[in-house]
Amino acid sequence: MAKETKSVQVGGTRKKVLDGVKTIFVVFMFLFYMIPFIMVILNSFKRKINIVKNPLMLIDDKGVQFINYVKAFDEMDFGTAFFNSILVTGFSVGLIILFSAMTAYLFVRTDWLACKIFFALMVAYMVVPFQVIMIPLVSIYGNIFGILNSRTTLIFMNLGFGTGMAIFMCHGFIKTNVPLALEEAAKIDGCTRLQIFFQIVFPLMKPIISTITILNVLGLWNDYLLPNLVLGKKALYTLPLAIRTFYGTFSNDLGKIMAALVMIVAPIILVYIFLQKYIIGGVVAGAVKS
Amino acid sequence: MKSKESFMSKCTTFLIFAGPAVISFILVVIIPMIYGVYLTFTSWDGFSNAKPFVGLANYGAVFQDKAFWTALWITVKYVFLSVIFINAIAFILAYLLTSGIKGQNFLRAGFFTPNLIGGIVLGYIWQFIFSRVIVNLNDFMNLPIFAKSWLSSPGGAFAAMVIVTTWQYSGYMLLIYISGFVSVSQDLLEAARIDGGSSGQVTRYITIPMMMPSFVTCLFLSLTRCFKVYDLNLALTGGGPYDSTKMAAMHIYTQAFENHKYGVGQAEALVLFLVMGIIAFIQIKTGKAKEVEA
Repeated sequence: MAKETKSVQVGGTRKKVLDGVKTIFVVFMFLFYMIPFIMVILNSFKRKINIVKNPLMLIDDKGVQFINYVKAFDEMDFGTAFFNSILVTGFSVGLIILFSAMTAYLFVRTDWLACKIFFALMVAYMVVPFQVIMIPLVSIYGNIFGILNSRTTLIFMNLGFGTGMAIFMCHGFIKTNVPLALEEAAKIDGCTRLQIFFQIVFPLMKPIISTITILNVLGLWNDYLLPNLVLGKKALYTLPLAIRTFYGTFSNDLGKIMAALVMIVAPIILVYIFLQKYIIGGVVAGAVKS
Repeated sequence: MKSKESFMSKCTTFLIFAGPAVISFILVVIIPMIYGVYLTFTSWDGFSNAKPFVGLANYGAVFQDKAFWTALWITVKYVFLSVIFINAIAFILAYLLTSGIKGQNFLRAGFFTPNLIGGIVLGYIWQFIFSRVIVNLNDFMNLPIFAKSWLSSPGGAFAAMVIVTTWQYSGYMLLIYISGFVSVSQDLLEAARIDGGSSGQVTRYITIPMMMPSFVTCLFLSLTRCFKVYDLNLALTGGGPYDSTKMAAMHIYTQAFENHKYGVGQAEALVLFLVMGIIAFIQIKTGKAKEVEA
């Protein structure tokens, strides 16, 4: 992102006042945007009675309550759901990256008919909403093959759905940023195609890989609809499924609900604080490219 | 790197490099798509082995399914309002953030935060805000519009959907608008100012036309995302009260997985795709026509 440019106009009092008004407005909007999070965090440390009676109260009159977290952690089976989310997201993203990069490389460097057809199909698929695929997907994998209720199936599906956009982005990147001369030199030195890819092309693809990783991690970590259709057993639930069931069971026990919500959001925010620059950069790059 | 390879070696190379991605794509996307079209010609209930062929009866059923057209109409209204609010707010905030305010990066990162979190969690967070916090405001401010939870009335629940969607995606589109503002050439802006353009005129006649690609991207993204809304709908209002906020995607889900009308549900999914596709196509065509060269 380019640096902010200072206004060239000569500042006067009028400009200062205007800037002040702008700042106040933006900060006010900012606080408004943050209020929902703040309210949930504050209330997660209160007893149910005080949440119901006065959600705006800052601290419980009996002091900060941690019991909500302890209960929510156990009853939601947070550990299992967190592990499942990590497993599904991690493997899905890893496979999407590896296989999409390899495919995109082949698509860019050959003019075979099969490559052209599949590239066109994958690009076209990017605009198809998931709703169009979900019903036949469940009937094929549930009724015909009977392989639902498995994290492996979910990871495989994530690969199939995620690969289109990833290939499209890698394709554009390789075409403009990976010099052919380098590969030809390696070929003369006797490298095979696989060696060229893994030793020369793949390392050069770091920027686009980080963009794809960010977009896919965000999308898959928060995905609800597909996991909901695939994973029917509680032991396999990812975090969005776990919170949904938990909310259904304890919707009146507000303290626990608040704590559960904070526990789900906290890891994401923690990662965001450290990788903020990359995440925002990745999202912008992804949006502009697609 | 072409021509000299034999067909067999091409096939091997293709399978090694593109095999896993292409096979998973065929199995997860292509086959279900084709099978989905087949399903619309059957009256399958989701359990039995028999998939009776019914011809075009499901498409007839779609036209008679009043609940579906209501849901689609609610979706269109929701998309229309959300897209306007999202883009208006995102554009204004992006304008203010790039006009030299301190802490630009921090604020920008903050506005984006809701997009890191899934629709289910966002829905629950806002359900708490609407049904507890805002109602509580009424106790000491005595504001009649906050007396009852918005989520308990059809109009209020619909407004809640639009508000939460705007809150979420404006922080996203903001990023794209900011990169649009930053990319407008400084020379051009300076030339316009020297020619005596006021800051309003410069924005209207230079910045906005130069930012057309950002508008096209943002409108497309917000449009397609809002059309597909499901998670937020499910968690915030659950489609209620009385199905008054039940969007098309949720109706399709219920039709297939709860009413066991797979064929009708799939036909409705295709209609939703068609409607979304046509609107997005028109939006991109008109938007691209307005793009200018520097």
